Amino acid sequence: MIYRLLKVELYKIFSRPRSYIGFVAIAILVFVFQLALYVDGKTYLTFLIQQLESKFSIQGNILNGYLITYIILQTLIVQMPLLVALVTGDLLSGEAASGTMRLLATKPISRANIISVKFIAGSFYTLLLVLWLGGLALGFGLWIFEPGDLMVLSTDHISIIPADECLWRFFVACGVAFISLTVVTSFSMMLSAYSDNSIVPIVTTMAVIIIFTIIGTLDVPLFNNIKPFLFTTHMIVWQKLFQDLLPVDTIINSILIMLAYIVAFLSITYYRFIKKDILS
Amino acid sequence: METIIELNKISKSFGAFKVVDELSLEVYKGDVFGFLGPNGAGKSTTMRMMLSLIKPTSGSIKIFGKEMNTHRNEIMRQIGCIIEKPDFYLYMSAEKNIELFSKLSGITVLKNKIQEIIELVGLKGREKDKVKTYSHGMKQRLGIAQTLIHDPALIILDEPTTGLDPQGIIDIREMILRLKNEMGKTIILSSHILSEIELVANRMVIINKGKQVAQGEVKELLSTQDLILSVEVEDGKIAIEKLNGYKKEKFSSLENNTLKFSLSKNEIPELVNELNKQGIKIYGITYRRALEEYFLKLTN
Repeated sequence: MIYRLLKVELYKIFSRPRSYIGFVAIAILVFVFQLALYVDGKTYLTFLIQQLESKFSIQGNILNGYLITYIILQTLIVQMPLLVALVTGDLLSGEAASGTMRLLATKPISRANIISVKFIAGSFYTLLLVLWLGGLALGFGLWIFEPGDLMVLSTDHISIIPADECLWRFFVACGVAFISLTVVTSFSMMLSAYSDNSIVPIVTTMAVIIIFTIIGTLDVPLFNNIKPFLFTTHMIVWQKLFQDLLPVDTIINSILIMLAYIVAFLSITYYRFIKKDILS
Repeated sequence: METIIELNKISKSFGAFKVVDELSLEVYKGDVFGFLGPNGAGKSTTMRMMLSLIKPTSGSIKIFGKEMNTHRNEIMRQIGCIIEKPDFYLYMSAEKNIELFSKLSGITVLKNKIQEIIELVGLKGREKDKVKTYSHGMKQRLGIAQTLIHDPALIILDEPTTGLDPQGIIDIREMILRLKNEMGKTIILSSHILSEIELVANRMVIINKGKQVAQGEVKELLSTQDLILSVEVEDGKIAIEKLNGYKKEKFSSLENNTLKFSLSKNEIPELVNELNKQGIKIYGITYRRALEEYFLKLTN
């Protein structure tokens, strides 16, 4: 029954034009980035490493496919929660707003199964978005530019990732980014269970992410104490996969915290939706 | 008689507001059961409780002899329903909507069965169109199709004629009678229009402010044994004087020169004779059945 429901849920997601906004937006942005870097990448790179060049001699093909992919991921992954929330924030509240929740909830399906299936379908959609972004960025990056060692500049150090290590690191980074975005999926679904229109969960999800991200970037002692507890702090852990020495413990810790958030958000969603009187 | 639905003192409160108050009723196999009440009487809330959309604050619901709390999915497999207005996935075709809802009901329906149902509800030729292009009447028909696709034993229709044109109302009424007579379905139908229930239902309940007002066979409840007769005369006060206590116990009120009496149908000629005998000019006589009169007062 779950498999049958899942097929129905996926069909619903992919038959809505709204679901393709994310894919189209990503394709356009990746294309624009690749084109801009192809035309003017050297100037951009010179600007980025001008301070370094006064102290180090940099040789080789720095402007390569892996660097382009990294820049694109770093820039676009910030926008991904919005694209994800556009669909997942609508999963429950959209059905309530359109009145179809009444029909759905009178079918011989438990409410727990409705949530499970919607979460799996939402996560699948999120995974496709991440793979679409990673695949397009990497595919076009390697096609247009050559492969090469990846130089990653951080605030306190430079990491050089050998070209033969880049592919698996990007693959794992996509996996971690998927877990990060699944936090957004479960969070927006939780809000969706409390609302009978789609705008509230989508906008609230974005507002919370923006507020948490701002708190995360401000170096204020008061905020420093709460930063480890904000899910947005851990959502950028994928970047740590591009350090010379992998901080495995930090990465695993962040993944576990994100999984705990997913479980917590989903539990609240189940509790709310199972108890809820469907009045819409 | 096999009992299909048994509500036992169900109540529902939203905060301090009691919407349904210890309502009990029984629906038997093959019934077209009318659920009548003015707007806000608690009809939709009760129907939603029968469909497990709303949890009762107290009381129990048994359908097909099973407790809703413990056998929900088993029960829902045998129910088809429209609650309030029929809503669908507007971005999909009618055919696709039917297919999806049949899957959600746990069955795989063949294309020709879908076509059969589409034809039955009079949507043939429009089944490939997206539902967003449908009128309210067409959506209502599609709602009936969705209700029937998994061949349920019990059909619950919440005000299915709301917003339909006269022909649409007649079509739905005929469809309900066909479902009962040709397919043997048990149907619960809510409405705030008494005549609509009277035309299709064999049993009914009237509720007001969440409480049961009357329940039973439609024929008995709406019998002509208990009528409210309105007689419009030239001067009401003079007419009462002239009648001089005649049928005093049956007289109920005088409003704008209209005398109202509570009596049975066969007492009418006798009263009219007496009015004539006393030389009271009669401008008009109308009667309503007592329950009809009561219901009209409820619905203002």
